[in-house]
Amino acid sequence: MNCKEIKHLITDYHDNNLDQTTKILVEEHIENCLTCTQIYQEFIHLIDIINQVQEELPDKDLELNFENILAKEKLAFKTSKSTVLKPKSKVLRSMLQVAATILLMISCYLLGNYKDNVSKAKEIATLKQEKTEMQTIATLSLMENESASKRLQAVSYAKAITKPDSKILKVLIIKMNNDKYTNVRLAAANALAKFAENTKVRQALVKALETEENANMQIELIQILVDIEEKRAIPTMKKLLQNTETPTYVKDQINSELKQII
Amino acid sequence: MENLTDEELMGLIVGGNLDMMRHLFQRYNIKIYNFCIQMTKDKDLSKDITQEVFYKVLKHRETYRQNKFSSWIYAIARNLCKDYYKISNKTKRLDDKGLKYTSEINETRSEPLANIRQLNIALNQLNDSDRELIVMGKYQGLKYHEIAEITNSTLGAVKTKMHRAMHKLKDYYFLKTKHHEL
Ligand SMILES: [Zn+2]
Repeated sequence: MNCKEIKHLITDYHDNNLDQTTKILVEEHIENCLTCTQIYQEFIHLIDIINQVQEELPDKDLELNFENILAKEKLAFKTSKSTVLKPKSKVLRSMLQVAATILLMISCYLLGNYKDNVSKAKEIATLKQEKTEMQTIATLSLMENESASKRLQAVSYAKAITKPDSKILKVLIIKMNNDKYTNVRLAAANALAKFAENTKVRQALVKALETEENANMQIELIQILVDIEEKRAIPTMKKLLQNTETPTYVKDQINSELKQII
Repeated sequence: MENLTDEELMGLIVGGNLDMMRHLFQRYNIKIYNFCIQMTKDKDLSKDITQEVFYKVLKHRETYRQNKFSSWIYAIARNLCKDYYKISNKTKRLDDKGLKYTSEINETRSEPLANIRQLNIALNQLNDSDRELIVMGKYQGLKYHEIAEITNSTLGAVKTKMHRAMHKLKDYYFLKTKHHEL
């Protein structure tokens, strides 16, 4: 071994990171070479100094502030849990709607304006459609809100729409690809997964994985594409496996998921 | 709870037991705080960033995936420090504030630590990515594979860069202006 090679190995030698044979070779060289002995001794000194650097202790208010944050988050979590119970109020609302409809029917009947069943059904359908339109408009405007949590909310509204129109799907795709916050992007991807029977949505999901650089998003997209059994994503996944930049845990995910769709 | 791994604690937190976050705070707050100090040379800022790190861990707990918790939390801290650099590079670079903070930090210590001061000066001469590698590997004691995960790099690349960075640091420390080609 020459001095140049030793130089490459000397930090690993110091950290005891070498296999036995290499270790002995380095050791022998250092013992017989003045230059490398000096370099080695400098490393010992340098690392000794680094180890003398004492940890700084933060003021107590770091912990106090943390407790504050934790308390707030716990409160927010509780409230969000109680909104999970919303179906109750939804049932109540639809009951009220039914009651209102009945009341309307009775009054119409009393007024002698009772319509036949067909037109009544039409009326309800129109009402339903109007409701979806309202939902769509509200969702679209909220989607552009500056606050990330509002945008997250919008994504969850969009997901709740049974038959979203192309505008909603388009904006979800944009959010999945471009939102500043990974959380919003993840949520948008998950919402789109629900509408994967739409060919444009499928295409967008396939394309998203091709260009995605964020590991969290990659993992989510892989999961979704496997769930919807999208075979067109296979080449991209294989490419990711070959890319040295892809984090190991993403590769692990691909390896375990890929089996399911091949 | 002391026996649970970071990842197990995180699992409980994601499951809704937010109080478990206290244990992770105890395990990591000093480490993260010191990491930020080494990265930013600013104690007050480091306190703010550390706080922000734990806020993010709590807020984004749902996005935590099964990889190592320590890599995840360091990656968050690293990104926040980097954001700070982006801002500060525009305004502070020229007045060499970094070095001033360094000596300030040392003077609050009791021992006469000329060596450490010299080490800090050497460390400050490194570029951001070399310095961050040394801080993670040698100050924080993170393993190569953890650093690779945090910096989204490969094990081989981290090893090579770390060797180069250590040689540079050594040469700066021993005031060798010219360092040999690696
Ligand atoms: Zn030699």
